[in-house]
Amino acid sequence: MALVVIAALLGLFSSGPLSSTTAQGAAGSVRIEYDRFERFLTPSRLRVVFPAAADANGTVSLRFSRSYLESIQIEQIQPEPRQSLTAADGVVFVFSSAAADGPGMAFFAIKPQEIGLVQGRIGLAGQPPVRFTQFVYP
Amino acid sequence: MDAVLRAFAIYAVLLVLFRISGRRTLSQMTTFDFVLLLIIGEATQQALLGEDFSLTNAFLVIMTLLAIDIGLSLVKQRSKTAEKLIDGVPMIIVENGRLLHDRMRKSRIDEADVLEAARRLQGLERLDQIKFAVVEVSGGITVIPKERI
Repeated sequence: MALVVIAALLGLFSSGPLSSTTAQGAAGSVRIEYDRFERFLTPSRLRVVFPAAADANGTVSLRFSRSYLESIQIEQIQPEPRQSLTAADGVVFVFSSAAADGPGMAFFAIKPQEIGLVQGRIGLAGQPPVRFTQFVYP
Repeated sequence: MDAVLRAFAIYAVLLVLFRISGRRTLSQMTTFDFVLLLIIGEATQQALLGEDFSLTNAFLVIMTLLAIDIGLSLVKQRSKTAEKLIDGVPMIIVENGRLLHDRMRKSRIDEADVLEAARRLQGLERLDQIKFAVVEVSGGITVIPKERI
């Protein structure tokens, strides 16, 4: 019993040092900060850090894979994307970037809709996505 | 992590609050005490669960509360001081038919409460039939009658 409580404190059941982690793509790609362990229907957060002003219009396009959006509902995005577009295999969020230098970031308030392993792919448009896996507890 | 911390915080706060408010607060259940208990339960539930309605969270909160309870009982078994601090000690409020007023005031008991306990438990009618009346750790009053001659 004490072991379970200690494991929970460490983050084996979401929120804690064992749970929070990052997935880093190749240089110039996105970095995703997420929780390894999530809980069913419980609000959580995801942070995506990307290199500044990726294209000529001063916008950054983030592509989320469809399979991820099917298992995880995005409740809120900060900052609000300028556009959200449907794509062949997911959704592209287009952010306006003010920073000419230094990385930009976006926060996604998420709520898992499925129990079990969730595979996610997030990437900048035109680049290979960064893969990550989350486990959703019931 | 937060489930465990929440459970710890609530347990500690409730323990201190009920220790301060006295053992008699919820021991003699009147209808209103019962309602009060329900309201406290409702208010606590919000703080314990937050926005997390998952099974895992419920399981962790229950597990943590039980673990604290078991842990504390182990501590109490080892150390008399801790037991005194957490549970308090039984207190004599009537000695050979004489009321000990300052002690009764401290635990908010009046003569009527003592007489009620005496009637209910022992069928006694008057104070002078009581040898000892004791407020137990659980909050109830125990009455020991004088031996009849």
